Amino acid sequence: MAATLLDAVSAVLVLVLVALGLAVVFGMMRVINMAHGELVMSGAFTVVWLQGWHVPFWGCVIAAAVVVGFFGWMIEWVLVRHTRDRPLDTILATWGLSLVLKQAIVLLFGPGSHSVPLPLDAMVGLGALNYPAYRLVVMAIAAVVIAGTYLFLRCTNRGLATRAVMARPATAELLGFNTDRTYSATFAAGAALAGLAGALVAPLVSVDPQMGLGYLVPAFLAILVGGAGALGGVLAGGSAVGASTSLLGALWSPVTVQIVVFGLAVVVIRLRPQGLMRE
Amino acid sequence: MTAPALELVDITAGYGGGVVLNGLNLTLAAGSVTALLGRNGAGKTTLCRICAGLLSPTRGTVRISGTALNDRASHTFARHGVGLVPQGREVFGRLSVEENLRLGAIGKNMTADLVAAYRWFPSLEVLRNRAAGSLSGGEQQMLAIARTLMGAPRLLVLDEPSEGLAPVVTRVLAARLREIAAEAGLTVLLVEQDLELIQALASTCCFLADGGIAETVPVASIGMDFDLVRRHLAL
Repeated sequence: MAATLLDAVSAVLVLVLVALGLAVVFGMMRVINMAHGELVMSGAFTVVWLQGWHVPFWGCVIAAAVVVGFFGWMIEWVLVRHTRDRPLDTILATWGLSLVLKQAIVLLFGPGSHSVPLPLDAMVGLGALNYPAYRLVVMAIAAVVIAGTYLFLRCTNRGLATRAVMARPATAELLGFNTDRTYSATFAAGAALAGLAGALVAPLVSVDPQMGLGYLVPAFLAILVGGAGALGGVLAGGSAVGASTSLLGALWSPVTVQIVVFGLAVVVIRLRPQGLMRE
Repeated sequence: MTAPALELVDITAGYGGGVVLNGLNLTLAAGSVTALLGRNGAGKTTLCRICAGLLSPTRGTVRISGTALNDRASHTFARHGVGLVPQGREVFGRLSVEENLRLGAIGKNMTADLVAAYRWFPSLEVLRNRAAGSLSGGEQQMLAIARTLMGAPRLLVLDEPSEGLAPVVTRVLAARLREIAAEAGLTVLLVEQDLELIQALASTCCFLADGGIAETVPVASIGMDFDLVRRHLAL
């Protein structure tokens, strides 16, 4: 039972980490990034690639966040900036980009799956329970990054400026904020979070070109259930979707769990269209 | 010799192919307070948007303190000392009063001088932790003006600041603005329909009609010349 609960917490934290990047980009720029799952995948494949060069795992994790963040900055500059005012075009453009990324990975790494060895294979004793140390480390890193994002947005001048641009871009421009630069930084940060999440989960899952979709759909669901725009919404939505998927997964088959979770999400969205944490 | 705070030379501008301003010329000397009057749809807000870089003219030159800023982004205008208080206030409703004020200074990489802002508008200090969206119209207007002043602009553009305010609030606002403009040596462009506010603040009045400045008169002469006002505002 304790292991199931810890697994649920782990699932929630990883999902919130993935959804955080998506929510920051959507909440601030109103851009629905259909390639977000492929950015998670890119983070995982960055680890696969760098480990081939014998780079230590934790170096790979940092590099994945930086590389995917830079990649996100380029995507914003080349693609998103020119379609930002046309939501449908942005969805199509980022969806097209997701296809390109998947095929690029297939060309570079092949269509098969790859595995990343666990950097920590020890077990940690938690009372009567032995739990994998790496999972606990991932949970701790995810919790720190989520808290750090919250503190950045709430307690720093740059975070305040980011929230202002999110709320009223034209007014923020009048006050001297370069909104284009803020959008670029935001998209890059969202991508870096996706890359970091992908790198951290790489030792826990099968790394393959199709893995992105498995993160994109629950992350979108978490944002829809929790409400976009507020960090609390991502936490609430991620907790609801991640915990229910993980806990119900201990009882039922994955297909049944998916149906039940989607059904619950539809009920929540029907009752609270702006999400659990609407303001 | 000090360059004019604002020079609009042969400005033509509009929306979607329609022309609103056509060959407009306007110069504001540094430290002057000028009112702009015109009928609804004459292009007053369009002119404000051009002054703040929110709209690029299709023809003509915009100079701020002698620097041509055509086709530059709005944040560049702000960094060259233009502060626009937009029509409708546009405060950040979910942020607190103090956060709104701090934003006015961050954009310029300056240290926020909240003390000065609270001295100008003491009622804001009492409300410092309240969400800006929960303030009354008058309080929001004061916040919008104080937020713009936090960036230490040299040219303050006020787009209908009395809109939706009770006359008593407008009078308080006029008194504060007069003090601030004198204290800070601001150049002010006041776009307004309220003649009482114009007379309290401005020394010169420009009438906007047919896409350009139709007439410029001393504000002191407006009160006596009803025909002038009737002619330009169709009252």
